[in-house]
Amino acid sequence: MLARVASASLVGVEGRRVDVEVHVSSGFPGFTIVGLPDAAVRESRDRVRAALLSSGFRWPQRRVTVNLAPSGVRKGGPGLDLAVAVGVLVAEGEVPAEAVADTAFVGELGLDGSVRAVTGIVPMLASVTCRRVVVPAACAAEATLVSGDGARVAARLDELVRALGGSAPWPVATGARRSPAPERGPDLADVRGQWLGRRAVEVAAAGGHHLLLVGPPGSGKTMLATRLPGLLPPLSREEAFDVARIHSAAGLPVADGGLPSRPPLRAPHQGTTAVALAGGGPWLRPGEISLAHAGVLFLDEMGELPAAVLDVLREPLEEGVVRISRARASATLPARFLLVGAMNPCPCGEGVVRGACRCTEAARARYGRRLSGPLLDRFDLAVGLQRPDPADLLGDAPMEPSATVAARVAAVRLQAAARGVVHNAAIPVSRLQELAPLSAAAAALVERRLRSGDLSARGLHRVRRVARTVADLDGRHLVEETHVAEALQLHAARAALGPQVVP
Amino acid sequence: MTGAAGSCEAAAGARGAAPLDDVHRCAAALAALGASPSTVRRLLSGTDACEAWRLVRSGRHPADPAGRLRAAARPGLPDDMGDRCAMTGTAVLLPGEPGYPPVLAADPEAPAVLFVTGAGAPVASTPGDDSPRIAVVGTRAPSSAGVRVARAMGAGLAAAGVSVVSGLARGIDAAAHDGALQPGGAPPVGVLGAAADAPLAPVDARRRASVASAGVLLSEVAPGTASRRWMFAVRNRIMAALSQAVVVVESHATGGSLHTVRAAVRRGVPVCAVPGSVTSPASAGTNALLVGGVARAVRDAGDVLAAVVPGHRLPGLQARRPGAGAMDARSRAVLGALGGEPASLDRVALGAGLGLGEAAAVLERLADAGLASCEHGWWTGSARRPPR
Repeated sequence: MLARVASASLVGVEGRRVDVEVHVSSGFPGFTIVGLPDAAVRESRDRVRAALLSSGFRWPQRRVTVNLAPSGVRKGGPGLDLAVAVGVLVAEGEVPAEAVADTAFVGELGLDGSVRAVTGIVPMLASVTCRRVVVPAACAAEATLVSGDGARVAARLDELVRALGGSAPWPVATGARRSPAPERGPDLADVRGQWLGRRAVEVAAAGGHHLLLVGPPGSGKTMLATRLPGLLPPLSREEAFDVARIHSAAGLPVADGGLPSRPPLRAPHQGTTAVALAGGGPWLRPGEISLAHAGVLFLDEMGELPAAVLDVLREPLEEGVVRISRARASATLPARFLLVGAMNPCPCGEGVVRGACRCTEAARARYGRRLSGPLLDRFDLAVGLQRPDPADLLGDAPMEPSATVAARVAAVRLQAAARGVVHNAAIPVSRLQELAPLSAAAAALVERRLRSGDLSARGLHRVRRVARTVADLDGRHLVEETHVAEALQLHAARAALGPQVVP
Repeated sequence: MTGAAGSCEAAAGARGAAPLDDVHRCAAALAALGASPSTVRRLLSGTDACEAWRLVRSGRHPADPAGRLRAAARPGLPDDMGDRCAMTGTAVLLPGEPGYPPVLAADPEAPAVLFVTGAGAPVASTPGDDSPRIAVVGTRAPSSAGVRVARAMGAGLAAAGVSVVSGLARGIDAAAHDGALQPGGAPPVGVLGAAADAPLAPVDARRRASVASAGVLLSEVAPGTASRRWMFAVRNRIMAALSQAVVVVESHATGGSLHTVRAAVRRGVPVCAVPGSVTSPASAGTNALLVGGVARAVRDAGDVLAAVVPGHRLPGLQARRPGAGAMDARSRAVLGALGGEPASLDRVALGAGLGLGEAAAVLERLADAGLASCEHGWWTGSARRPPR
């Protein structure tokens, strides 16, 4: 007797449809799985057998062969357990074949017959085209995102069989994973003083400019960075689905109420490895840079990260994706994020004002070289911070809340979209003259800086893009001298970190 | 670019023309044993260098009765030193010989053997021919203002015909010599704490070579000897003994420059210090010298010369005061908000009551007028741009 049940497996952040074929025939009793299973899938033999017996079903005393089609592609993970078990039951006649038609099953089985949650429900369900999907009860929220009304849940195998046979109603999804993430993150109004730092995150959000914060410990770098997602516009539908897909593949909780709207913030620790950042492992789990897709990647203590880890950032910053290859598979994961780096100005951390630090010149130079020139050149904004003035910390002057700043940011983003670019940081060089025209005074200032050697040709493009954003925030079409001067100042801390790359 | 007139034996020796005789080879070998300067002085006191070397080899030298130096005294060492000095163009000078600075020879802690490298001859060869020399020293971790002051100090002194003596360390020492190395300046004197051929980072090695080719390098450490920490502290007395004044540009509260100051005070050499902000750690040591009355406050080369040579007037260093008449209100407000302490843009804007962009634009204009300067986004009001 032959049965065919639809399921899916996961590679990177992409699901792949897998058809589970179960054949039960006369012969010496045995249980084989073919079709390039990995270790977790091979182990599912024992889980499935125990789960069936615990749920009160008979295990066929005949030869059972399971084929995972397409058989040329490797399959991993325990998510195929449920489909294999259902396939055996259909082949044995416990479940009518028509009950599983046009239905996909994804889930891991426990030895007691319970159905356990698996990661990557969102991308896996997106890859199957069945009308109905059955997932573990704990994955109900994720399944509803993709399959809507077609989503069914199962908490136990025997319950599932009764529901499939029509002798009991489908269980109602309960105990779905609740996302503890609050809709509203920390507010910019909490940052007291720090006008330059506040302005820098506003410009970064408005123009999509990568931001480097340089300051001693306690100068508010982390505070500013964690408020940046709250200034960005809410995720579009496609972005939100991408975020849900990536986070689901990584096993992170997905919000109950539908697609996420707040851009994610990822802040990997400075002890992170290249694989944790880029993604990897046998089944290409997405890394931090993919988890930060459509949001903010905050790298604190950037100077402490090894060069090999920082190198990972170069491809995503250039192309918005990261390509990873392993023996079993290779994948291209989305990784388009706003990068916020934070670092101390020197090893002792006090060297914003040079006389305050006792690092040797050699130590300072070495510290500045930790970040390669090409990587530093990706930062349109580099701002030095100092510890806030006590008067600002204790003062009760109301600071501007995130919502007000976010409204200005949204207006600038809309203007950029009207110009046909994603954001101002993406304005191509060929369109700078047209999209960021300079006033006479602004052009004179730029020319003086070019002549004095303080500004390179590459630096000029960067300054014009940032000045475009500053002028947009000011509500002006023509880029004035004040906008260019501010753009120059919003990059001034770059000079503390060694010479710039000559284009 | 050779030094001033009056070339001497040191210069001739430095060119590596004459091979060393036995006495100088043995003296160089004794200096290369790794003993402290005072031990080397005792080894050579009252005896001929060849005889001293024989006694050390036999382990019976009265200054080394335990024979501790015997192990290092290989038989071939004098010849090796002869070859090495010839190869590196180093002259070996004993006190009282032509080329050995008379003021240094008269010092109670004079180096018993002096290794001299370089083309210039700023170190006077006869007692009557003492050219002016002033030491400019300071911390290895200076503020940007300190570097500017040291560079201007070196340039001003060299332009006034004063040889700048310094230790070629990074920071203030390096900046002083960089200033002094400008064309037409008096030849600089580098007093090394290590051997003249000790390995250095490329940028420091280039500076050492420039000082050697424009002036002279002195060291009591034999070529080829490995550097030790104590060598750098003990060489400071040579700088103090050689100079008519010691200028400390910046020093932390416990800095190596204070060794030089102590050595200068013991010798009666006047000490000058550049005052700094009381909140700047890099000026803590110099400010303490001023408060303690040890040093005289100086701002630039003119002040130093006036302090050392009463009535001295430095040509070409008239203070330039920019006209403040035609300034608009915003510039005045921004200038008023700028202090001597570096300030960030938002502080300046807040102080001037302007927006960030307006303040930035005014600051850029002030910078072009030479009235403000910016380093890494930190603004200071300055009367002059740093000399380049």
